[in-house]
Amino acid sequence: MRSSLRLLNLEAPTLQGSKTLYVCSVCRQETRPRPALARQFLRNSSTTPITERVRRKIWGTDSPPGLEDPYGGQSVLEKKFKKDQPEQRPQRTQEPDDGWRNIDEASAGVETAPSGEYEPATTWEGLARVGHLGRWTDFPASEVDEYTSFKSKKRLTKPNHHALAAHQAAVEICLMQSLNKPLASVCDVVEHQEPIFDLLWKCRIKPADGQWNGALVYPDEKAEQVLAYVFEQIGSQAQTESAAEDAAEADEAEPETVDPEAPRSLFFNKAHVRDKGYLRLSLADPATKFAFLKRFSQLTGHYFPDPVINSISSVREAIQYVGGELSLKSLKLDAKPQKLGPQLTASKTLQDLPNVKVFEKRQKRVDRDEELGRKKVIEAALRERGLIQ
Amino acid sequence: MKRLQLQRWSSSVLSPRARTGGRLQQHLYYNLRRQSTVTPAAQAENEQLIDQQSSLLTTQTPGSPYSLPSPPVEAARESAKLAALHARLYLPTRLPLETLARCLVDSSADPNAKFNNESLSILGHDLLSHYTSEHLICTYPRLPLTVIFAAMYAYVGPKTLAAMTREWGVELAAVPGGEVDPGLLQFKRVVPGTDVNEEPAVATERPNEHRTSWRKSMTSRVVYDNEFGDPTEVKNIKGVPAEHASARFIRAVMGAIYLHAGRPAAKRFFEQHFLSRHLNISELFNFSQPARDLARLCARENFEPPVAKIISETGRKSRHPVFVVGIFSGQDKLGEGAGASLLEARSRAAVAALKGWYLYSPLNVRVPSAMEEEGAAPWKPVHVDLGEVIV
Amino acid sequence: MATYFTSIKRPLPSLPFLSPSSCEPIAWGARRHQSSYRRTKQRLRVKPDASFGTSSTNTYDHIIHNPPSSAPSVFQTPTKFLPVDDVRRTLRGSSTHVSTAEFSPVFETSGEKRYHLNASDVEEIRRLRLSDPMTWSRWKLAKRFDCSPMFIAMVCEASPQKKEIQKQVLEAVQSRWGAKRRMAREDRQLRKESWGRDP
Repeated sequence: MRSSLRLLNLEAPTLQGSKTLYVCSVCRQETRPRPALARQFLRNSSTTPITERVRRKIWGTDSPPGLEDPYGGQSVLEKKFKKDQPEQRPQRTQEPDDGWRNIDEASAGVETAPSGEYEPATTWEGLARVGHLGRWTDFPASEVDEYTSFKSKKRLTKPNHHALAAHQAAVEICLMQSLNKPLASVCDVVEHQEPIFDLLWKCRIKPADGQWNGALVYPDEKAEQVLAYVFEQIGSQAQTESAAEDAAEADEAEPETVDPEAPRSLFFNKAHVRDKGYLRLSLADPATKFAFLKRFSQLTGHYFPDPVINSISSVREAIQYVGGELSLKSLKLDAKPQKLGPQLTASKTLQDLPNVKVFEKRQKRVDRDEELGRKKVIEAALRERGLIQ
Repeated sequence: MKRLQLQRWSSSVLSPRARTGGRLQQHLYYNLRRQSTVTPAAQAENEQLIDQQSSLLTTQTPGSPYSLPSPPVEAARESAKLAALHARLYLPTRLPLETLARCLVDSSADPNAKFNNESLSILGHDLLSHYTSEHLICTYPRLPLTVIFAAMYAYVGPKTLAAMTREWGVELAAVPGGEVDPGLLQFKRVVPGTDVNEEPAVATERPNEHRTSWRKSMTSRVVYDNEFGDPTEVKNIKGVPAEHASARFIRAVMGAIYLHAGRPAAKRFFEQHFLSRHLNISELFNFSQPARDLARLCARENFEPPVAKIISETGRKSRHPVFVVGIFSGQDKLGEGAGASLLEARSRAAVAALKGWYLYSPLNVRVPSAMEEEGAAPWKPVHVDLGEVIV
Repeated sequence: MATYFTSIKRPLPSLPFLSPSSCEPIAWGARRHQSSYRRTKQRLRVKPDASFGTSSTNTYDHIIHNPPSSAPSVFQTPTKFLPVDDVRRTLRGSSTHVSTAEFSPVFETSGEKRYHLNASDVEEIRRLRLSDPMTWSRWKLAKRFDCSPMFIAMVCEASPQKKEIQKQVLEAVQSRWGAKRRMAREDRQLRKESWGRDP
């Protein structure tokens, strides 16, 4: 079969219910009823099945009576599926269609075209639209097109907000640590509901020697249980979802992301942090530091550059950096690295090597010319023509 | 091992005696001649011209390097190229960088004899000719003079020396001057558009030089021409080809090593850089009538006359016959050759026999300059041959 | 008796000489295949060189020197050419002597010089050459006096007129040559020159 026809009827076999038995593509093309267009072209071509030609010869006419293909054709099952197709097709067409769906429709239209007279189209009107003509911006954005920022959209500027965020992050990471779960997964929940946040806020941190282990002090027993239950679900939500449905206090405890569009009050109007113990927490451990700074950055909307992350060693310093007290300059991070040229010039080993010469400046073509001795000739020639003084 | 390129074949063999031509001697001849022909006034004018040219080129202040015709002596210590070249050649430490820098300044770049390499190159040239010729003559005492000339040309000819300059990684400066890196070879280039193929002006001290139709014997070349048997070229004031400048640089390095590091170091340098190059001397021969020459040789040496005999043959009546013919003198086989015809095979066999004669090399070759070393064994005279065959 | 019976037991078609001529090619092909295989095998079964392999006399490690056939190196001086005081002359001894009797000479005529012409003969040669140069060419003179044309050339010289005529004849002959013949002649000359040069 010609390749163009093959392309035209690509969609046909999928409609005929290939679920029942596998038919290879060649056999599919052979058994499938041909569209009118194809038949017109193929009347006198050699691709007419040999059985058909034999029958025509026997009967002496172009439309011999009897079965079209007595030795093959569709099986009983296929015929049955063909009957079912009209029921399926409306469902398909009701599906919401976008521009690219038209490809399917076009091929389906050819497939189901009436076998009457073929009229070639003279204008584009009424024809199926395939693809788009450079106007993809007009299509509505799909789910994958949307972008949500990891950090909060608003940058927190007030110091008490920084303190609240740092406290919350510290408490959360302490909780995760005590539950022995991946620390960075606290970022899965952007914002907790108010009762949970209240419990978090009431927790105190009393670090011994800046250690995170056992630094958390719960307000009471119940808070400990609730927080432990809530944070147990973070990081493995897919598994615990069904369990959460069964639980009685599921709806109250289930963490939910707050709709970013809705107006919200920052930290549920909490004004300050109740204790200062979290400031003494150390960020020496790289995993803890990464988790804390990630969460802190998510809550405050501040970005930590790599050199700053490298130099920060405690929670206090992170807050100081966000508050602007700790600038890049004071961290001595703004100093530009020393250039290679002066570094090499100062190197004693290179100076001692007689066959190595370090130039302070970049060597350009002019320097090369001077070294070869042709610079004076070039200059003389230019001066002679009055191009330089 | 580097292979020497064969630049020319010797023509037929004619001369009985071999002697190396002293380049220094010739140089003295030259200066004498020049002094006799060139008037002092013209010389002064010439120098004035050079001064004018240099003043034209250097419009900078006299203190700047642009005012100098060649790099200052202090610059030699600054140049990385020079130090690299010194290290690459594994030159003795007694040879200072300043001298190496001087070796790289051709006399066409700096006419001042105190700063160019002319004196060093004359010394190096004589050393090279001396060492090469004594090596050749002692190793192959029967070599004809033309072959010696050709072998000398292959070992220390200007083309070989220019190739060595390239192999040593010496780059050429575009224009000489004081600001140029001292590690570059500096010489005044030939002006573009000059016909390089034109016959170079040659000068010999030969009497009757004007009679061009007279035959110049091979023996007279030993006396009047340079060590390659060629007439010496007169110095061209317009410019120097890179080949000549490179050759002079190598000779100057040889002379500098001799002066600074002494004779043993110079000999070692010569052996490592010149004698180590492979030259197949048997390819330098070119005989026009080998059978006749061989007959004359056998008559001279009182051998039985050579007789060509067929050792084996195949396909005499076919399109591609092969004959192997040996040349016998009495019971001894002198040479053997294969050819597509009897004549060719005989000719090749005669060539092989003649080469066997000329390429005789004694065992335990010692050159005369080996006696210059301390505690050398007493000298045993080397084999001196009667000379080549004259027909 | 036994051989007789076995040959009788053989089926007839396997004996090709008994079969009629129609089935001959097939039988021949089969036989020839086997036969040529055996023949090839036999040809390849060459006895190795004497120096090759271990012989019973060589009990120690030894070097096998069996170089391919090639022209001898010119750097190996023939013993006859060595000077009298060279050590190699005695080292080689007479081992290099080969009997040259079985080799046939390249040229039939022997190189012996006869010196049979005297001064009057030379005078005669000169006279003849001057009197009628067209008749008495070098070859004819050489035949008459039983010497080589080279000797005639050494003794006398042709007159300038004769040289001129000969030159014109040569030019006339060469003018009839086409490009191919001319090129072939030039190539031959170049090849001849290379005999004295090539290794």
